[in-house]
Amino acid sequence: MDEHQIKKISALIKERLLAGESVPLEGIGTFSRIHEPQYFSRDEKGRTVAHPPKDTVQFSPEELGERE
Amino acid sequence: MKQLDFIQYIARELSISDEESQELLREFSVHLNNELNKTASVQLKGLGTLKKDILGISLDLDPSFAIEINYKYAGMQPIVVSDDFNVGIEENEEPEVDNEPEDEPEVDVERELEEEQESVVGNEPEPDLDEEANDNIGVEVDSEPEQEPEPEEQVDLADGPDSEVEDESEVDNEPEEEPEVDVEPEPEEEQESVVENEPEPDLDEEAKARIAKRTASLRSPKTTKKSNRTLFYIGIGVVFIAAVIAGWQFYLKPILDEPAMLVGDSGAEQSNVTEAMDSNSISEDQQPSGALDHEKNGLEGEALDTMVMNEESSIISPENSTSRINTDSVVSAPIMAKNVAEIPVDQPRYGLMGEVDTRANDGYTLVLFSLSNRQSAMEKYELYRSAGYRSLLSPVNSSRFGLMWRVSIGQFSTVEQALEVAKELPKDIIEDYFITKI
Repeated sequence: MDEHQIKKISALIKERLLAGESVPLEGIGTFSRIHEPQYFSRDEKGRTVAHPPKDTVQFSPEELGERE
Repeated sequence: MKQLDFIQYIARELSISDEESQELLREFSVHLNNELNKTASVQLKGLGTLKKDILGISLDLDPSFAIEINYKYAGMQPIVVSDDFNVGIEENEEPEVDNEPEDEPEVDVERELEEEQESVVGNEPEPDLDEEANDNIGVEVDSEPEQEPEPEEQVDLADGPDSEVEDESEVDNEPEEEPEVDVEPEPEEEQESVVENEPEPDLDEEAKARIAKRTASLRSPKTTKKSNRTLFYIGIGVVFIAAVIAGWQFYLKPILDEPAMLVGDSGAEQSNVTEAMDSNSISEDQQPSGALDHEKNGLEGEALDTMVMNEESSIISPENSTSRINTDSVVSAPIMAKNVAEIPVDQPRYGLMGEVDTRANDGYTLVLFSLSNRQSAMEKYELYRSAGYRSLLSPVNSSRFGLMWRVSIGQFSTVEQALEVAKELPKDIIEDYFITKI
């Protein structure tokens, strides 16, 4: 498999993740987009700080990932 | 997305057959597995790096992709929402540390005093002595601490220790009574000895003098201490009140009055935001608020694309810009807000539903989306607005993503109020929200 193909597939995986979908890859695992909602914490001065929601991508190896 | 869907998607995008796509993906998986087995790490450009270790395979997200995937939250940075320790932290509730040291000693002192009182009462042979003692307290407290006891007071000496103990219990609030604990047994012994000695009128002068001295020495430090302590506590009280007032005036009030300060604030720049808004020149007429019943139907099926707008562009000015810049983005005041005159008279200043009230722009709002596309932002804004929400649209100038449009609903006076409302909203409407200063 050449570098060009790897790049293209990676780009397409990224595109699906940006669209909010998870991407299963047979034989290896699943890329999933994880959402972390807003939360509050206190800083060192005792003030309440609101943290915005955040998205990230997680990879689950096949035994843990979803398979069709 | 299922495996088959992804195969079809790849086939469509690369203009190949499903079989070829499946084969390609299989090769891709084999390549990844081989690389992971060989080097324990494989880089996928623009996506991240897969790493294999004892725990399994994990992904280190590419930093640029990590930012890209969070484009919806562009300009949303951690903000200080309140200095109030009790502001609605639900998950991370922490005990108020400050109260602990205050409470505990109070309890201990009370307990100690009670015990002291009990023990004193138990030891007292005659209840009448109390009254006498109380009478004596007044005299003794007023008298000079170093006053030399006269021999005539000898009769009262029996009351002396009691009165002191009673005195202690009256003082009550004093948290530190340690020296008294040490002293306590002595006066009791003193009392006993004196009581025992009472029947013997022939006590020699030397003994009398000694007893008197000791009694005086026991009394004098207490009265001194008492008066000193009273002053001390009054002083502390005054200082505390002054500190609270000063804290409110110079620290809390400015923070509460002004827009929330972004953590890591690096200074504000309005730059392109105003220009961008001018060029957008939003002039659509405000539609009357729709019934709440329509809100769900209207909102269902919408993608994660929402935005709001407040009315008049003329409202936007540096003074009206609510949030300060954090790192790379500038959030400006909502646009398209209604004139105060157009707002129904009976509408409360703050709330979720109704018309956006510029006077309530000193409060908080529930941010739902940040969109780069102004048109879709406008659509979202209108969608929420027609559903009856106070819909706000604020431009966000992000150095990374350019101009974005933030859609939020509601105007709330406090974070707590915003949180309460957010909890009751349908999840499909407010799945991802962020409470921030307007």
